[in-house]
Amino acid sequence: MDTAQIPDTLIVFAHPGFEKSRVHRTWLPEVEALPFVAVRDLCQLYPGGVVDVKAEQAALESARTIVLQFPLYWYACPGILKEWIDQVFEHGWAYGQTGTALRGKRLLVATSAGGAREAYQAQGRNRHSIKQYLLPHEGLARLCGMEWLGVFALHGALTVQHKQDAQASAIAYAKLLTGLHDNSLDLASLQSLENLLEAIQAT
Amino acid sequence: MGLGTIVFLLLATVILVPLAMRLGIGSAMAYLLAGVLAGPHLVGLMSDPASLSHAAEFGVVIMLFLVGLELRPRELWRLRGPLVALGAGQVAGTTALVALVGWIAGLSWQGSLAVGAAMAMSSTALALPSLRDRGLGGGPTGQGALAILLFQDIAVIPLLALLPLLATSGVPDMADTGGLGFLPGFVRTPLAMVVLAVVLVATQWAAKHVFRWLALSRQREALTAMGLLLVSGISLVAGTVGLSAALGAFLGGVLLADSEYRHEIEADLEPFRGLFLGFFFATVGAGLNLPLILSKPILVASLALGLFALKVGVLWLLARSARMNPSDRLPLALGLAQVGEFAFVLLAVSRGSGLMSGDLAGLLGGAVAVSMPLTPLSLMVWSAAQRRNMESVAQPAEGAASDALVQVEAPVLLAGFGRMGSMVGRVLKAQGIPVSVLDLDPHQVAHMRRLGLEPHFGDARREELLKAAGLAQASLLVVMVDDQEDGLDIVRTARETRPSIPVILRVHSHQGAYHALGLENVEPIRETFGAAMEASRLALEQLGWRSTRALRAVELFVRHNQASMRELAKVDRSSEDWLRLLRERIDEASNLVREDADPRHLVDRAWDNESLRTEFFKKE
Ligand SMILES: Cc1cc2nc3c(=O)[nH]c(=O)nc-3n(C[C@H](O)[C@H](O)[C@H](O)COP(=O)(O)O)c2cc1C
Repeated sequence: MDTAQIPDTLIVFAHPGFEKSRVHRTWLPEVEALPFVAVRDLCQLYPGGVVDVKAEQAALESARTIVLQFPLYWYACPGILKEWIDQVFEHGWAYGQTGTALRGKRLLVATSAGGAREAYQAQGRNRHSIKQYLLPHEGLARLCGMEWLGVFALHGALTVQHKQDAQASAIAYAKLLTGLHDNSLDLASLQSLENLLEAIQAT
Repeated sequence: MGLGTIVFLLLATVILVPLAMRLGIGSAMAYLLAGVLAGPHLVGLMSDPASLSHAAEFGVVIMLFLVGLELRPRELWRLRGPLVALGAGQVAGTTALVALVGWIAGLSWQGSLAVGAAMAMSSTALALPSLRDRGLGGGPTGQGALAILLFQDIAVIPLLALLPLLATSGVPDMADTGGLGFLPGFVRTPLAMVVLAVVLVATQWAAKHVFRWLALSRQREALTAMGLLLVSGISLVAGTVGLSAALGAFLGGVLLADSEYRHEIEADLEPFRGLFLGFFFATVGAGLNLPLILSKPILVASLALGLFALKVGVLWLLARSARMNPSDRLPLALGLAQVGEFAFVLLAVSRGSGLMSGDLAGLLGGAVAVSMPLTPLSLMVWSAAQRRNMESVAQPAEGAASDALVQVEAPVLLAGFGRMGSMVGRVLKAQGIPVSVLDLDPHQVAHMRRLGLEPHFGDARREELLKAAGLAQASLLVVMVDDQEDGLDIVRTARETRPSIPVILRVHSHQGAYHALGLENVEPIRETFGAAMEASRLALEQLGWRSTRALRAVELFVRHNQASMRELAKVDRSSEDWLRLLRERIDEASNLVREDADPRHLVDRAWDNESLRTEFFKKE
């Protein structure tokens, strides 16, 4: 497969507690094995937080789909990812009059949350869905002219004890990325969903 | 020069100079007075001032050499505009006006011109130090003054050749045209220039190698002697070919301004400049024809005042037309309005050529001498007025005032350019921060220069060298010498001039760090600490730790270590307490590590979701 040589899906991965991870330890190998996927692990690349902006921009430019993958920390992405966004998405490159580098690319968030699905509802403890909590990422996509695909989220992440518990979601995750890669998914219908995980598992 | 004269002049230096500085009238005045006292008409120690003139001239020569040393050729080139505009304007304007007055007063037109040209000269020896004393040596005032003075220095050469031509009586050439006197004027001057240029370039080349060789011998007096030899040698050559010795010295200085030995030469010659300039003013004082002046005091005084006022007017107008700031115009005008030492030479030549009478020359000589103190006096009044106006404005910060001719803003003074210092220098340079660098190893300095860095040779333990390297303007001192005792010496010396300058100090051991921590605002850097921490971090990564975790683990260790060092520094090292504390802190540090190794703390607590999980299951 010729297209396999060029990774068109870039996963930007941020997990400061990876040593004890269960969910993402299962997810990551699954998607990393896909030939069209490249992963940038921010905790390994930039432990001190000083990002190589040029290198990151180049990696983003060569991708068609950009995935932000992280465990949900305090209803948001971990700080190291926010730091990366702040440094890389420069005015004049990502947005603004000359900032067209990301136009037409697609942005997806893949995350896991300790809270159950029921908690992330209007009547639940957290009042809002994860997609709503992650509104800033949607804003980012919009400002940079990217297509906002939405959120792929695993609820009840703290109940995951063994690899098998997260295996199903890992397969769904890989399926989603493959579908995005070979254009076999109906993007318009995806965008209206609260959680892509459930949609994929339903198919 | 008799021993008595030397003792007298040194006494004057020791007693009168500090007194004059305290009174705010400048050292030049003090020496002038000492000269008058010692002169043939009073004490009689300096009964033959002419015999002192060589030593005296040497002061001016050293001064111009040092001025040149501060000006790189590039910067001199930048001065060419003001050199011509201000310099030519000043010489031509003053000559014309004074000549007009003389002509109206009944002098011949040739005599008037000769007087005018003589009175147009200013005193480099007086103007630059006076401006410097008031902190005006740098910036537009200092540069404007230098441009005018340099132009005058150049103008003297053709003037000396032209004045005898004006003479109607056909008296032979009196100008000191040196060893080329047998040649006609139009060949002589260009030829002299060429000879001087060749000598200067050769000197520059030789000086570099000789200085390195001398520096390796570690004999300070050899370096000092070399500096003096350079100055006197160049001016000797300049004088021999009939050029102004001061001009030659100035050019020599400019050519060495890029040399790595610049600070060393500056520091070595600095005291000689002061002393020899003092002799210069003393000879001027001693040379005054007191009886003649005292017989016509009113005439001499009004001549001096009139000349001073006229020159102030011309200079002020020129400064205005050159678009100088209104606040810079008056100090420039006051600084250069005195009539200078070249006037004596020009008057002598004019008299010799029969362009004026001996009496007139004597009276004018008196007026010249009286006009000299008017500069420090008027500048004193000016700055007092200035201070009153500025009362409400905040005083400049310590060391902010600089008398450097060319403002090289080097906020960082770096001592030691070896394995550590050169790295620090490169990091700062990469940020575009100018760094002034001193190193004591001639090989290292030469090597770093080949790599495009610009360290200077010099011993940073010496105050003069720290000053020459810009201690007064620096806002940070970084000491990276490998010997800890030397490092502490440098800090002590620097703190004498700048008691509160922040210091980053390389230390060898814990002992050194404790010592440095006892000093205010000194940050000790243990030379191997950073590298050891870097190695630890890499070791952890090699063991499979994720980079974030390795970095945080090391950072925690660093913080703990630095905090304990600060704490321990406060405790008496011979006491029981100290040992106990030390043991406690070491235990604590290894617990830091052990705590981290505990599987319960495989990640930083902040990101550990273990307790979350447990609680989650309890609830289920
Ligand atoms: C610092 C921190 C903050 C967290 N904040 C939230 C939160 O706001 N909402 C939530 O549902 N879960 C939260 N969690 C739980 C994590 O989302 C959960 O541990 C993670 O998704 C598990 O993935 P892993 O097995 O790959 O580590 C938090 C966990 C940590 C350590």
